[in-house]
Amino acid sequence: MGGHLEALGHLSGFWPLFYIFLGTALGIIFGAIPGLTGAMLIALSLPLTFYMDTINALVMLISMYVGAISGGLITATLFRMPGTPASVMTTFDGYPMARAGNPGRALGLGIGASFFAGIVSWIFLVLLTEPLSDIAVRFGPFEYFTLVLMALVLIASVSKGEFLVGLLSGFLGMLVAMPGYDQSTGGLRLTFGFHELDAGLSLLPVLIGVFAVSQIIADIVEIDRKAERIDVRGQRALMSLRDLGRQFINLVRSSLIGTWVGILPGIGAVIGSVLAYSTAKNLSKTPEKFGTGFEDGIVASEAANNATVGGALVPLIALGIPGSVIDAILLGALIIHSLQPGPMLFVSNPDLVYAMMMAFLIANIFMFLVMTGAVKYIAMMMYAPKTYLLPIILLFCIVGAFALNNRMFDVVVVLSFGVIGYAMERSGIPLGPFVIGLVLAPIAETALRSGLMASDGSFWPLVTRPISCTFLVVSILLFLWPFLREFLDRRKAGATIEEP
Amino acid sequence: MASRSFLAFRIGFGAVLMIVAAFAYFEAGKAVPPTSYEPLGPAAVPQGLAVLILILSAIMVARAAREYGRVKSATRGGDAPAYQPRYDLAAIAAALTVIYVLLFGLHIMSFRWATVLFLTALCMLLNRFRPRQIPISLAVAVAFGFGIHYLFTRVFVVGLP
Repeated sequence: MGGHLEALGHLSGFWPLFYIFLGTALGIIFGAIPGLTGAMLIALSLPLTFYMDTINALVMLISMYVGAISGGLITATLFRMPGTPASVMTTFDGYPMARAGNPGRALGLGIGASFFAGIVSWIFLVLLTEPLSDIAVRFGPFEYFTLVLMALVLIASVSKGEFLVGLLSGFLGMLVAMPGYDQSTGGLRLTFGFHELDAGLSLLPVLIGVFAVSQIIADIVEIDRKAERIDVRGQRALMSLRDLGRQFINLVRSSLIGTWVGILPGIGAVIGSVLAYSTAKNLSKTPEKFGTGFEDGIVASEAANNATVGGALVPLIALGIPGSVIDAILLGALIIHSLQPGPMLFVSNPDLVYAMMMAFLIANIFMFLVMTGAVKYIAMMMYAPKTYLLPIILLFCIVGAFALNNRMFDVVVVLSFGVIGYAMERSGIPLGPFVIGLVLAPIAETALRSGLMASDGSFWPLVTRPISCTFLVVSILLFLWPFLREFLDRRKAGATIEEP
Repeated sequence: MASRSFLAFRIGFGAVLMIVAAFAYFEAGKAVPPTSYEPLGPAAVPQGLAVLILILSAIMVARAAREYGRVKSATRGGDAPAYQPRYDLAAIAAALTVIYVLLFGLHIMSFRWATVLFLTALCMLLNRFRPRQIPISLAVAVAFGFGIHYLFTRVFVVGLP
C-alpha cells in the first residue's frame, strides 16, 4: 500500500492533476461525439506524449481511456447513437427514458453507475495486479506463447462477425508486425526490397491509420447522416441515494461482470456491457421493461463498460498482455517510452505502475465531477460541425505520424492503413483482433523461438509444462467452441422442425 | 442477411488478401535460413501466417460468394438507409490528401502553405462549397496551418518541411 500512497502524493502535484483532468475531459468529449472514438484520441495523442514526462504521459492516456468509455453515454442517451461501441446497450434504455422527458435522470443513473463501477474495478486492480505479476515472473517462453495464443483465440471468438473472420484479422495483424530485421539472425525479411521497411512498420502510424484515419473515412462517407436530438438543458444529472440503494445489487453484479470480462485478455467493454445487460434482464422480475427506458438497463450497461477499464489494466500491467484494443495502444505507449511491458515492470518501474493505478482512481473521480457538472455543455459539443472537425483531425494524424521519425514513409503508412482499416470494417473484418495480433506478434514469435532453442527444437514443453498446457487446452476449447455451438444450434433447429 | 454490396466488398477484399498472402509467403522465404542452434528460423512464422491468411481468406470469399447468389437485389422501401453514403466525397478527400502530402513531401510548397491550401479545400468540399462557409473554412485553415506549424516546430521542436 506504501507504493500507492507515494504515487498518490506524486500525482497530487499541479501537472499530474492537470494532465489527468485534461485527459479525462478530452476523453469524455471524444467519447461523446459520434464518429470520434477513445482509440482515435489515444492513438492521436501518442506522438504528443513522446515529448512529455513518462508518468504524466501515461496517466493522461489512462484518463483519456476512462473519459472516453464514460462519454459514450451522452450521445447514447440523447441521440440514440452510441458515442463509443461500449455504449450500444445504453441506447436501449437511455434513449427511451430521455425521450419520455427524463434525460437528466437517464444521464444521472449512467454517470453514477460508471463512477461506482470504476471504484469497484480499481479495488480489483490494486488487489490483483501485484500477485498476478509475481506469478507471471515465473512464466517461461512457452507460457508466454500459449498465453498470447489464448488471447488471440479469445478475442477472435467474441469479436463481432464470424469466428474465422476474427482469426483472419488477428493473423493479418501478426503478419503486419513481421517485416524488418529478424531479432535472432539480424537478417531482413518481408521488406520487398524497400529500405524504409528495414526497421519494420512503426506501431504508431499503423495504429493512427487503422483507428483514426479509417474512422475519418467512414465519417466522411456517412456525413449526411442526421440524428434526432434531445435537449438536456435545465435538468440535473445526478443519481440519488435512493437510486443507489435500489440499484445496489445490480451495480455490484454488473461491476463484477465488467471487471472480470476486462481482465480476460483480448475482450473489451462491449462484451462486458452486453453480458451485464443480459444478466440483469434474465434475473429481473420485470424483464419485459428492458428496452423501454428501464433504470436497471442503463445501470447494468454503464457499470459494466466502465468496470472493464480497470479490469483490462490488470493483464496489461501484470502480464504485458492487453486486456482490450485500447490497452493494446497503451502497450504501444509503454514501448514508445522505452519501457518493457510485462511483470518486470513492477521491478524496473514500480513508481510508474502505482501511478497508473492511482491515476485510474483520480480519473474516475474527475469523470464523475466533469460529467455531473458539465454534461449539458458537453451535449452542446455534439453540434460541433464535423465538416471542420474531420479535416483538423486528419491533419493531426498526418503531422503526428511525420513527427515520430521525421520521414514521409510514416505518413504513407498512416494513409495506407487508414484505407486498409476502412476496407476491413466495410468487409465485416473486425479491427480488434488485428491490433491485438499486431502488438502481440513479436512477443509470441520471440517466446516460441527462444523456447524451441532452449528445448532443442522440441514442442513437448507446450504440453508438459502445467501452465502452458492449461493455456493451450483453453485455446483449443475456445477455438472449437464456435463450431460446437453451431453444430448444437443446427441439431436443435432440426429437432424443432421434426416435432409435430 | 448481408447486402449484396457488403458481400461484393468482402469477396473483393478477400481476393486481395489472398494475393498479398501469396506474395508474403514467397518474400518471407527469401529470409536467412535457420541455423543449427535455432530450429525454426526467421521465415517459419511469417510463412505460417501467410498460409493461414490464404486459407481463411479463401473460406471467407467462398462463403461470401455462396451467399451472394442467394441474396435478392435490394428493393426500395423501409430497409433503405436514411442517408446516402458519400463515397464520392471520400474519394475526393483522399485525392486532396495525397496531393497535400506530395506538395510538402516533395518540397514543392512549405508545410504551412500546403496545410492552409489543403484545409481550405477539404473544409469547402465537406461543406459542399456553400458561400457562407468559405470565410470560416479559410479562417480554420490559416489558424490550424500556422498554429500546428508553431506547435510542432517551437514547442515540440520537431522539424517540418
